[in-house]
Amino acid sequence: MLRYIGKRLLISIVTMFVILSLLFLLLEFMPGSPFNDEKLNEQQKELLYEKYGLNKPIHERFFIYTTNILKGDFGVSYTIEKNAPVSRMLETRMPISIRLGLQALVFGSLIGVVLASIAAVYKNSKWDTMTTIFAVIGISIPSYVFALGLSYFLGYKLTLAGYPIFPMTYNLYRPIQSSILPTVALSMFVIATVARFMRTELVEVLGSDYIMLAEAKGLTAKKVIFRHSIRNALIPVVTVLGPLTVGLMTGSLVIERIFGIPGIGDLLVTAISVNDFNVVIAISFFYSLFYIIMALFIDVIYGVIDPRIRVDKGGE
Amino acid sequence: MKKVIVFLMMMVMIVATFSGCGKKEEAVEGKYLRIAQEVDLPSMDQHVATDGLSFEVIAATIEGLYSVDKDGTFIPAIAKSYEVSEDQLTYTFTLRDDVKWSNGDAVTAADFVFSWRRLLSPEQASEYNFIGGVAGILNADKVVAGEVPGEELGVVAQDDTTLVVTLDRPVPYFLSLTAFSTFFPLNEKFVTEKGADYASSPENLLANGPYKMATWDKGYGFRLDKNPDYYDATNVTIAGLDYRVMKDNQTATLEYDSGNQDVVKLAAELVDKYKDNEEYTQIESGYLWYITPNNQTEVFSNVNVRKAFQHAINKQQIVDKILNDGSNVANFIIPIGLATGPDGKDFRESAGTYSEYDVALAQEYWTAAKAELGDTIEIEFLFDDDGTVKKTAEFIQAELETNLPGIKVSLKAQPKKNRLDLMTAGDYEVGITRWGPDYADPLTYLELYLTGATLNYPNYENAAYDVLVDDSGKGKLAGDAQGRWDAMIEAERIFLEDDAGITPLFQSGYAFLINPKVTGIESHAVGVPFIYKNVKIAD
Repeated sequence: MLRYIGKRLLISIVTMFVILSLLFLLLEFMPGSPFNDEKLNEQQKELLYEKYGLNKPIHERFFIYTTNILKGDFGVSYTIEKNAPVSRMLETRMPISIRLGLQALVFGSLIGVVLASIAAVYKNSKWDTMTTIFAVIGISIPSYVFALGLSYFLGYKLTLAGYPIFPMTYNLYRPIQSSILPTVALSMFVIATVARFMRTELVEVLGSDYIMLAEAKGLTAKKVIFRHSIRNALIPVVTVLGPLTVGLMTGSLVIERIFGIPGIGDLLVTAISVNDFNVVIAISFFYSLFYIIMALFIDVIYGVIDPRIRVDKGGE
Repeated sequence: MKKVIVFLMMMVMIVATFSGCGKKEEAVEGKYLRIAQEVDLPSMDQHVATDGLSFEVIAATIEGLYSVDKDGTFIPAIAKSYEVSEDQLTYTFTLRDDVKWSNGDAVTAADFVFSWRRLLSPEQASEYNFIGGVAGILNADKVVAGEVPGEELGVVAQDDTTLVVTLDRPVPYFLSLTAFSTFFPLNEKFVTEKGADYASSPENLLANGPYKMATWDKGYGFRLDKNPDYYDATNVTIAGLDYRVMKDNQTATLEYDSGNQDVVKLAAELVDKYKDNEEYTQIESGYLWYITPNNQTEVFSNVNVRKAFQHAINKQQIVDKILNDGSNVANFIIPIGLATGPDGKDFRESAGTYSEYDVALAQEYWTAAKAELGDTIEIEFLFDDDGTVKKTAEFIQAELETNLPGIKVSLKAQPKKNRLDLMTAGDYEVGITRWGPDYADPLTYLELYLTGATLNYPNYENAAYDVLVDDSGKGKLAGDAQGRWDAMIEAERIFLEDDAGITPLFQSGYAFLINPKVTGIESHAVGVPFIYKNVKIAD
């Protein structure tokens, strides 16, 4: 098991390095400049490039860039928050995004599992059909469409004695109440994905011999479903956690914008549009890092959930 | 199963931990002006900032020598008065003695000297350091280049309340620049002590103006409270300004509709819905967008081609259909609201209008042009690779090909940086560009087209024009307010009417929704975009 994790870890580090190099090159070729080009003369531009170390040869900058990142120094922002260290910008924004992502993941998984269980147990009933329709809609419609719908109908239209029940925009000072709508919007994709995978798996599990045996032993339906079926059906769900995380990250890019959430998704979108290179690099770095850790985590937890895998690896 | 539950519970606990990040809000009693803003606040450091929002918030917290009133007239702020020497080269400002920084220190002439030296110091490398040369401060450009030390800059604190500025040439608009954020004072002790942290948070800022920064949640919003120590605090009637970053225009507008915001910028697609409402307000910005023909190319060295261009494009369509954001058709180069003349009138009220849309006239010129250049004329049209500009370029292409028979327009989209490089190098035929003013005087536009000027994209050359512009800048008319004004009006006429140097398109503007209960927001096309000192909110 340890050797297995070690190998996975090594691959992750190499992947990370490749991502970093690609990022650097891509931004190098991106057109545009973060500075006030129209008004500056050559000499003034030179001063600026000198100040930010942009006039050094490319290989030298790449070396500085990688060593600085390893030290946790992502440089300063050129435009969004001029001259502020990027790490400080992320400090306040990262927790907000992580919390939102986790809320959506937890909420989405729970609802997804419930929906899937209902659909599988009452297979081919109208509940099943409804779940399937919901899943198809949830996967095919992008989360920002939900976001706009929610913010308009629940945030704007729905009021109680003149006061909105769900605030349309995020409020830093009331984070729980004001993050309900964005969480729901973001979790649609999670609910749909989990429900779809889980249902298929549950149906298969419910039809298998050992469930028949459990039923034959006289176990209650409750026990059969909770003890024997759901646990086994959860395995494929764990495998989609990776794509789900990616879905959450890309979803957050737009959701954060719509609901005015000061997170890193929103920051990334802004940074790309104003050529704030250091910010783009830092956030992409964390997104990649997060994804790689998630992949690693899934590989490990796979073994925890399914003892057969654990035994296999342990026997190496 | 148990492990899954444990895992889920762990997640819930992490969520709960992060939820604890909520903060408490403590506001001052009274009404705040709530402003929805599309962008984060880039900087509170006046020597780092380059954008309108930063300049406006800095100007709400710090005052300079002069300020500007709602009509664009320059009014005393920290300076009580000033005197100009006969040769127009020395300005002596007398400062108020009752102005305090929010840490209790007095605002003195030395604060200006420190600030201006900091602006131009090579170590600071401010993106706005070009403005020192524009202002004509003695040795400004040499200080930037590191050729002379900051001490040799033409600004001296004679005593605490006397500031003497020496210029290297007469600069008729010098006073207007003292109302601009970059030239505001800074408390040396405080700024030096904070070092790199200066202006990074409310604790690292000082105010001497109507408001002071109370909170700043990066990416989320910030709040300015009324500054009780402001020397004119009795005239500040609201509790402060509450800015909230809302990047999505639709959401911001919905929040306005729900009564949660007072000032919101409208997106083009929402303008039609609100156009007739009381709260709809159009605000002009100083940016002028125009078609710049390269007068050195074979086709565009022909004045009839340039004139045909001036009249062949229906600019109203661009403004109404493509932009629909409060922009206005421009048949001029000096924007509306940029500069006020000695008669107290806006430049545009005294100057003429040129290059109006007139297809018949355009075709007349075009026929003349074709007689000289041949029946088919092919041109390449350069523009920024950006949504709205692209649409505008496509529209212009269609207009030209419809109204000027025999023309073939091929489009060339480039990233802005490349486009600027091509235009600066003169390596293009014709294209779209824009210019925003640096100071409140027509020269900020007219000097662009002097023979050989770096930013003279049309490569325009006219000796008579050069004389008029030079005279009203540093030349013999610099001290003659009315004389230079007339000269600048004539220069614009020569450039647009006689020579058709460029084809103006539109003056950009913004469409806002402003709560009808709010009055006293002062907007300016140049310098500090909005001044909120005199805002009042009715019950």
